[in-house]
Amino acid sequence: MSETSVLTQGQKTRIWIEANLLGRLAPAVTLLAYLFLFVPIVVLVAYSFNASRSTVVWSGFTFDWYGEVFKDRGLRQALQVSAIIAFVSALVSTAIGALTALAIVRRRFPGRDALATLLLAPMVLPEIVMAVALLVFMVALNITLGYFSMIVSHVLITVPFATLIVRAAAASLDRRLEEAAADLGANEWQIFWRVTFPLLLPPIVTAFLLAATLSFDNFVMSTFTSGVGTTPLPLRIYSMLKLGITPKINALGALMVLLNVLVVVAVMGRHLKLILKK
Amino acid sequence: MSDIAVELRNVSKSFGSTSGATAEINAVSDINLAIPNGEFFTLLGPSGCGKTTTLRMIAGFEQPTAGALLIRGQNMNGVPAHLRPVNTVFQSYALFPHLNVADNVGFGLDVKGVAKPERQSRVLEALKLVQMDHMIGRKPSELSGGQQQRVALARALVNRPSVLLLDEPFGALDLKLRKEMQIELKHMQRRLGITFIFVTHDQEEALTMSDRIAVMHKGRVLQVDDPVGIYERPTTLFGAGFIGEMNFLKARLIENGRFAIGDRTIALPSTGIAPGAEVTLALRPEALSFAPFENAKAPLLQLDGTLQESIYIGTDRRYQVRLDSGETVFVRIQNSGRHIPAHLSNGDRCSLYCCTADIRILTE
Repeated sequence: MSETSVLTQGQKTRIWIEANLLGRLAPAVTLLAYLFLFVPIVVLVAYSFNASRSTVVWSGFTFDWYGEVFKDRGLRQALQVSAIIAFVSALVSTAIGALTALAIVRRRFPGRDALATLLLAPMVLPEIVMAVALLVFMVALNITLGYFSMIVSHVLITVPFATLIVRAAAASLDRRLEEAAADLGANEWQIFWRVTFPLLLPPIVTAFLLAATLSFDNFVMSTFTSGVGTTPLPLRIYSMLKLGITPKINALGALMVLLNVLVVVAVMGRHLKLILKK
Repeated sequence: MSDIAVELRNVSKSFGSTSGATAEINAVSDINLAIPNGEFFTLLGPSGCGKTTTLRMIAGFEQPTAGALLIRGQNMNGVPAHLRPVNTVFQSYALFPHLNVADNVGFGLDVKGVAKPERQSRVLEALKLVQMDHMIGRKPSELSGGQQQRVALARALVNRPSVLLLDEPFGALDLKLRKEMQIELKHMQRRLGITFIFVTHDQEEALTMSDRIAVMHKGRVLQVDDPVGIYERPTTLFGAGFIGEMNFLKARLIENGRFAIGDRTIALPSTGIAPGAEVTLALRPEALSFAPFENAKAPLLQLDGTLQESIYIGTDRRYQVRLDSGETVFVRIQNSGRHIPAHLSNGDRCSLYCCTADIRILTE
């Protein structure tokens, strides 16, 4: 009793191609994309340990460039400027973003949809246009370029991202939880601090970290709005490049990668703990 | 001090759209209700009938567009939810996911500034009432649906509200648990003496638990009565069809006290009906029988037809009979009862009997 296949030879070939070639093509493309993303970073980190001044030829292992980074006063100052601006502008834009998101999700007012769309404008407008406009505006208002002007400009570009993140979370927040709190006798203030805010804290932290990251490596806005003595790190690195590339810049880059990884781990760690608990 | 816990006087609610592009929707139209203290009152109706909107207006989440809403004799128009002496058990429980059981139950006392020692003892007392005092440190996500239900109940009751509002609280529970909770909740309500206003679309649940039921349809209250009255004396076509199974027969009033059904005439009281008027006669499947029986109350009505189908459904057998008038009726005979027509098979001619006292005349 022989069993004949219901498939023709052509069908069999097609199934084999789909299973063996197409099925492996997608992972292969993904792998290539990842390599393209990460190989330059790996090379950058590797050459930060290079003993010679070259960023192309490997000549030995050293930590010296990291020492150079910390010895460079100008670099330290730029790092400090960037950190202050990232922290303050992220704080301001998260506060504005969170409250705006809640207003859009929770309140009904005329022009709500228009406002929600308009808020995304800074994401799609060319940053250089906004930077020029802002500079002209500040000069007209006689504002000295410095911390204030840079914070304002960074808030402007990070608010849409903060709003989007908190808005998505606020929209999926069960409205009944706030009604339940009101039902149990809580006034608006108590509802916000005891129910809404604690439940929105994870997205608010995410919004803050994203805003801080965006501000930290912003270049275009800072070019226009930074003042004398308030050069942020990206501008400082750019001006160093003009004097020649040394592994010191690689070391600085490696440190920034490390910082970002630490932030990501800190955020992921919270989630990981929650997952492990379950 | 009034004996009425909640009173609605000509309350209406319409939801307009902010843009004005769509027409206003009347969620509730001209409702009048008076619910005495200590009553278990149920708003019963299909989804979209306005029962939840009515409950939300009592809770203070919605404001009536017209009419007055009174709680314990005080006008509540414009009073926000957090200042009303009512508490709600939500359909989805709405437990705070970031707080444990004890903090969920203690929330109401905490925001009102009740001191910690008193708060703790009252939380424990409320959790004991719903048999959840052993789960005090758990998060809501670690509880089953039935347990969350109990915590939600404790969270509302701990505030000692004068009125407890329940919005389909058993909707998410399985049938067995639901039946247990129904009995338990009814006992709890009697013991505590709190006015319960219960919203459900489940007519059996409403009949089981309520002191009185308001049947709602399309934003209106059709009938308010006790469960027996709602089931046995429906006043509207909708109410008769919505609660339990019902047969409807077309009839016409020939002269005072005499109706025509097909080619038969029957004697029924016809107060308030104009001669010649078309009416609907409503009769329960369990009121019909295949054999004449003795009844002292009223004469029997006989209807002839053909058996189309009989279905065994456990406790009962359900027969579908096509009457000679062309209408189809259902008959329900208890399998343990005495009058089991064993000899009938599909297609047989048969006669149905019904006591005329069991027939309701519906005019609308």
